[in-house]
Amino acid sequence: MAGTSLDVRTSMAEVDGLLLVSLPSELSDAVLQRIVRDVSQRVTESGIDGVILNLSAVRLLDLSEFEMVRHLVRTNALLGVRTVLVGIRPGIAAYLCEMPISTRGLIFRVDMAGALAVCRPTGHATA
Amino acid sequence: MTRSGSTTRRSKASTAEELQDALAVWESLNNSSAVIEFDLEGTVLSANANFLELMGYREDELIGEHHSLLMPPEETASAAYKRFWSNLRKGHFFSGEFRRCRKDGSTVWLQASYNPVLNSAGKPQKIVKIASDITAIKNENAQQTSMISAIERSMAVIEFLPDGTVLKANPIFLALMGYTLEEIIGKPHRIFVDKQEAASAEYKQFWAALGRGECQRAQFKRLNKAGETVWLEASYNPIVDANGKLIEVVKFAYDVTDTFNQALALVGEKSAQLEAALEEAREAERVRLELDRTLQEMSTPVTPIWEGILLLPLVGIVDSTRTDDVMRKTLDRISQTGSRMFILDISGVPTVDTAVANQLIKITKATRIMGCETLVSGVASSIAHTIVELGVDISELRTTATLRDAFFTCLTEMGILSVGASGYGQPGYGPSGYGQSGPQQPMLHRNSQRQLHIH
Repeated sequence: MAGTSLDVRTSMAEVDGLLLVSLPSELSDAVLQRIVRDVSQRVTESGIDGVILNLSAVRLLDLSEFEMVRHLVRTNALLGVRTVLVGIRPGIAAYLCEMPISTRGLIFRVDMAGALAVCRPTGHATA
Repeated sequence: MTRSGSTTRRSKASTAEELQDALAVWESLNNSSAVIEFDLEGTVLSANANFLELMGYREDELIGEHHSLLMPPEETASAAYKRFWSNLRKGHFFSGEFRRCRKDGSTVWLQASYNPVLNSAGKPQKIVKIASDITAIKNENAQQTSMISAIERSMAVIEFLPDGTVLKANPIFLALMGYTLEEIIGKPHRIFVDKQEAASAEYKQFWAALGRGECQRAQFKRLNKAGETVWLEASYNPIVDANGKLIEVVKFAYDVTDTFNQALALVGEKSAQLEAALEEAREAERVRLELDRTLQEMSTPVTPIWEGILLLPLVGIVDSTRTDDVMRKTLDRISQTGSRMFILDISGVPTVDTAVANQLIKITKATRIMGCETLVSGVASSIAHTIVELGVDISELRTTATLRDAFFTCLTEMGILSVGASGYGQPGYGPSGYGQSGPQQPMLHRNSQRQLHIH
């Protein structure tokens, strides 16, 4: 089930050494776990040097789900891969800022262009 | 003989007493009543003072005149008048109410008796008339009678026995209720009220009150013959006899069904007006909310001042409601415009307390999660002191003294303004810029901004 929903709703594309992951609008712990596992697997298997997590479709993100995302970012960091979180919606941002969480070590960008600029600092200047 | 003698003596004595008695009666009658004497032809022989006063004549004006002088002119020639006198002449006695004329021509009503006085042979000798003035009573009666008939002509009238049995009703009542007289006479009052009301305690009390002689006046709901509701403005009036005993109840009523229905319609209209007023109030409320919203919008004008840079000049007192609003508006605008930098200028804010400082920190945090960096500019020295004194941890906040500093920083970090190799290393906003190394940033930034300034 989780596998099916992953295939249908989560797009994962590798472009030029970057892994672009679009999270589905409806997240569950199971789905997120699956995504985390898949992303880690892709990172270790292929020569990827950057991951962009696109959260722009995500409507709700609770604390535990956020912690899982954070976990993924840290894991990637251990593997030497930079992870950028893109397009978090205002509602989620307003919610998370009220929570006792640390955003230290996390890179957020408002759109894909910004994220690409982070991952390719010398390649593309900002638009 | 003795016996007869005594009888004679006694009879003589009694005759004298009787005479004395009769004279006394006559005297008192003469004093209290108007008395006039006629001969058999009707010529006035004498009149006492009462009579003269009553009719307004002097004695000499009346003596020798005919009785017809006192009559209403139209009656003197009538056959009845002639018969009247011929009967008197025959010794008939008349008593009753008579209409007569005063000297000034005004009418006077007399309660009078015409008494033929017989001589010893039993023949009428003269006529003595004893009269009293009843004009006032007569007029009052006439007035009352015409008033009652006027009421009867204009109002619905029905009469009941004290127990509620119908005695009679006038045509207006019958027409109003749709009955014929025969249908209701002898029937109880209950037939005009609905069953529920007839069985109620109020209805029993109503008749009990009438039985005690209390008048009842109100608007009553009654049923006509067809069973339709008729509203009556009515009074139930107990009628008592001379001894104060209740003999019947008279009800006078107006049909106010139309008025009543109109009033109901009016009430409906009024409630419609009320509805309209409410709608107006709701409209006003909507306008007010709209205004409030506009005002709020105006109080937090989050504006893009450059590609990717938002500015919010905050002016006035800042409270938690307002910072919530700032947060919401800012995050929405970031999402809409995809801005990367947000300058929150607080140079127009007079004071910053712990709560507001924490709110500013929250805003910074939230925008950072969205991928937009917040710079708080325009921090007055007094506010800086306050924040330090309050011990607020502002390690998450990036602050500048002026808006110009903030704008400069933004342009630099976004690589729009090239500042060479000073402070930041790479132009553009690279990974070293912020976020990752956030906590140490504020002081560093302030320093580098100062450096940039010097450039």
